[in-house]
Amino acid sequence: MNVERPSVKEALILEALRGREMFGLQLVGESHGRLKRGTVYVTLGRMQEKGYVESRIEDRPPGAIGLPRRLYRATAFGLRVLDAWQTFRAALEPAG
Amino acid sequence: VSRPDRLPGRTLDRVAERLLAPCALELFVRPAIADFQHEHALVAGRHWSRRARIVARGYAAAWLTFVWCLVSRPSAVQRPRFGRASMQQDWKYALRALARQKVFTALAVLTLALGIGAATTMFSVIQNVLFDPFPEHDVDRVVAFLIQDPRETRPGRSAFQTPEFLDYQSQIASFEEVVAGGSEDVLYGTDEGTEQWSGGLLSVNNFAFYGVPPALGRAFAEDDVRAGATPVFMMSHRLFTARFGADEALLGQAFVLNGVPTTLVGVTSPRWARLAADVYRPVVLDRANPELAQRYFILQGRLKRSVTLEQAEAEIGVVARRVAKDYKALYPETFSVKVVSLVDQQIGPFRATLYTLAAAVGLLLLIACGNVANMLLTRAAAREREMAVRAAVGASRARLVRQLLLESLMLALGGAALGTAFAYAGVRLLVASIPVGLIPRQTVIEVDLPVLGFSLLAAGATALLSGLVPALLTAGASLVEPLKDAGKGNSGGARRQRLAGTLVAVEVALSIVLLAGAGLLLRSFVNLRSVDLGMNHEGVLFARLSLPRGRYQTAAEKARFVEEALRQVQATPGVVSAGMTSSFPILGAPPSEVDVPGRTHTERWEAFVHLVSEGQARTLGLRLRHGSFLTETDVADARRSVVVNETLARRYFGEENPVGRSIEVKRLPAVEGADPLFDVVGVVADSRNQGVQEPPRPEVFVPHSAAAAFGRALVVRTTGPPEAFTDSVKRALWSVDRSVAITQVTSLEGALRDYSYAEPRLVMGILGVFAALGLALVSVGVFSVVAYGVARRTHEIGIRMALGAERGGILRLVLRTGLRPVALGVGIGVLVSVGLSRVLESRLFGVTAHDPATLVAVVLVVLHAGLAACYIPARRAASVEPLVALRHE
Repeated sequence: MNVERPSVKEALILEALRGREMFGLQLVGESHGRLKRGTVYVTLGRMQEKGYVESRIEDRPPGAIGLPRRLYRATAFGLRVLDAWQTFRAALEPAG
Repeated sequence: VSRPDRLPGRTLDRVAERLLAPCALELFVRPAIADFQHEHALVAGRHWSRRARIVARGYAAAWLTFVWCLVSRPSAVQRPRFGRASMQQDWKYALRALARQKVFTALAVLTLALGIGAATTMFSVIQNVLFDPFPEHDVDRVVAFLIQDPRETRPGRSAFQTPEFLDYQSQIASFEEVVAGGSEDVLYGTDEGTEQWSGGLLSVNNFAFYGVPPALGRAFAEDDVRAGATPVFMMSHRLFTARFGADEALLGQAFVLNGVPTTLVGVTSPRWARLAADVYRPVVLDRANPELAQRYFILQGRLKRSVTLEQAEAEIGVVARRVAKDYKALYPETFSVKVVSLVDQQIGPFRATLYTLAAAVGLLLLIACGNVANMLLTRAAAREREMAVRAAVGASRARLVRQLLLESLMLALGGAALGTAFAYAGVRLLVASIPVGLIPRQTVIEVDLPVLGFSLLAAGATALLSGLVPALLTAGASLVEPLKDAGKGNSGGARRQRLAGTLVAVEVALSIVLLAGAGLLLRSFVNLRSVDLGMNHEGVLFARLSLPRGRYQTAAEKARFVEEALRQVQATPGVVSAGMTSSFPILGAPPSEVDVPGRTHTERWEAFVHLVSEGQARTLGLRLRHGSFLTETDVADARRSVVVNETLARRYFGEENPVGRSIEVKRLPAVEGADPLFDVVGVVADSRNQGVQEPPRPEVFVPHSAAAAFGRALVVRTTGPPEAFTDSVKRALWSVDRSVAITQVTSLEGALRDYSYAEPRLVMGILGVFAALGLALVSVGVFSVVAYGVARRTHEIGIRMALGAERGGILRLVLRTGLRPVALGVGIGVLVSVGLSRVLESRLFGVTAHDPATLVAVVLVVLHAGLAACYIPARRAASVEPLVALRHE
């Protein structure tokens, strides 16, 4: 049976996105070095394909230049997977 | 905000748009580019180095994401225009073509590897030293500020007394957070004697501020500084490994530091180097604490995101003028405030060196590219028919160019792979030769991911630089000519020959620039090493002492210890003589204002003051000019006698003989409250006293028993290598008093090697290696071009000889043709060198940037190398048999 299980980085991202929206670079900044800039977009893209996160293009004032940034937020499914995984891990840890 | 046309990442966006499926583009690559562009816009107007880092990181992240899509997501890649099959075919074809000519391929790969390897080595130093020297997070915004006295050339004051510090902390609004760091001496008693460690007093928030967790144990916490808390300390990783063998069992144990049992709670990260201390204690700055009132603490703050350096400087300037009113004694009458970033403060002087070397390595890489381009041109001549046939059967020009570029790319990738291996070795070698203190201790120089990325980029750039022109020339050549005349000196060949000649001229010019730079630095270094230091510094050990404060307060108490210590040291087997001094010879001493009764002057007179024993002059080998050295009686009776150097005698006594005259050394009575006048008993020859390069300043040698001021240090002349006597000298000192700590032990020679000669030697060495590689590459380049020219003209040479040309004439003809671009390159190179050598002016000693002798020597070296490279093919041409040559195709 295949069990949905987030990777360490995915769990980190889901935790960071719990209840709020963030940009990719913001996630890197707040992870204190645990997420790397060179891989975070790949991880986010994969998570989106898996349905862990969803994204939207930021609202921008008219006349803004450059590409619009993408804002990510955790989906209910993603958070459920995270919670289930955390509960599962906690149950495996030795008591005391 | 950036202009849209200057937004970074646009090229990648366009490339990705063409190559990736829309969903992959939107899902992976565009978010990376968008974040990068946004961040880039935010740092517009900041210091260029910050912007460069943002751009480098942003590009790297976006490109990595793009490359990942290409490599790991076949479904994300659009169908290539030429078709995948044709691409595969071209790769295979390129591989086969290169494999067929093994010698050519090996030579080209080696040439590129030398260039790319050298460039990668330098880049790894630049990346780790200039762009990412600190492990700390957000270090770009960490700054300190200096109170600068406009009359002083030295950097201003950046440490503040506790109340002053707290005033700044409460009034400066530009900082998000502030940390304090002060220094102290820490004495640690062992069974053998006392060790002195350098201690750091850190505000509790230091580790969180810099975001560098300890390697072992924990960082300081608020509870550690509460009243009644158990004293705790952290140990530097360096001391923990070097002194205690990284014994983790030490954690939680109490060490007696400065007489107080103090518990070790953590070991710092190997890359933590605040204050360069051995041990750290937590401190809370408190106005009410009398122990801290007079202590100085360096103030470092993290700028708020919206605040620029200039804004912070303006705000702190206003605050400083307010604070200065309350601490008038600490501030000069007029002063300015200078805000400096941590990176600039620590890397500053080495930055220029690195840029010089980066420029040199750029030249070397260009020479390598020129060389490979020449090799490709030569090779292209042999493939004219092949290309013509391929074009005749339907290959487009673009396809031919792509094919040839793929071959260059393969060569460059091979060069990058081998070059990276060279870089691994080069970085090790370089790190071992970077002098102590030139770069921050926490900087780790290694071949890491960005460096490997650079190596790949360099490969791409060299492939384009060396491959594009030959590819365009070859693919654009006439279809008909090669098929018609079977390659006998067609017009395309002549064009290629001209281009090859131009490339040789450029290579020679670049090589002249490199050689001239290396030559100037070599002459400068030779001059530096042959400077007469005015003393015999060989075979002398220097040991700085730290006397326990309570026990040695007065001059007499210190003198008693010194007398006994010298007796013990002199009795040590292998010791020729020993003396006491207060400062490290050659590198300066505390200055004092001096005055000569009866002489008038308007400017301030200053001299370095040394407190010495009678044996100091003999031990260092100082040379007497007039009068006598200090005698045993002078020292034993604490007479107010003084020996001066020649510069002082000349400058402050003019034509008079100073022996028998008096001099006032103002700094000593200020400390002692004694008679300010000293009798001059002797004049010694000048010895260097502000580094090897600078001319000597006035200095006075005073009996150490006459003043309690300054520290004490030993100079010991030994019969063998001075460092070998370290332990016996320590034992001799500790036999007098075990509580005396020895804080610095080194031979004078070793110290000079590390501090005065190391950087010039390093720069000269690196530039010398680059120049030698450049010359070797140029020689190979000249050889290959002349050899190609001879091969192309074999038929013509045969005709000339059949018509009666002498072998000598042919030899001269080939030499003349081959040396023409060399001579042109020499001319251009000399002109460019004269223009560029000013860059090196500040590093030269005893030689001008336009030194004609160096330039002549360099020109001769290059001409000889060129001649040697031309001679072999010229001889081959001269020995051609006319009949064979006429049959040659």
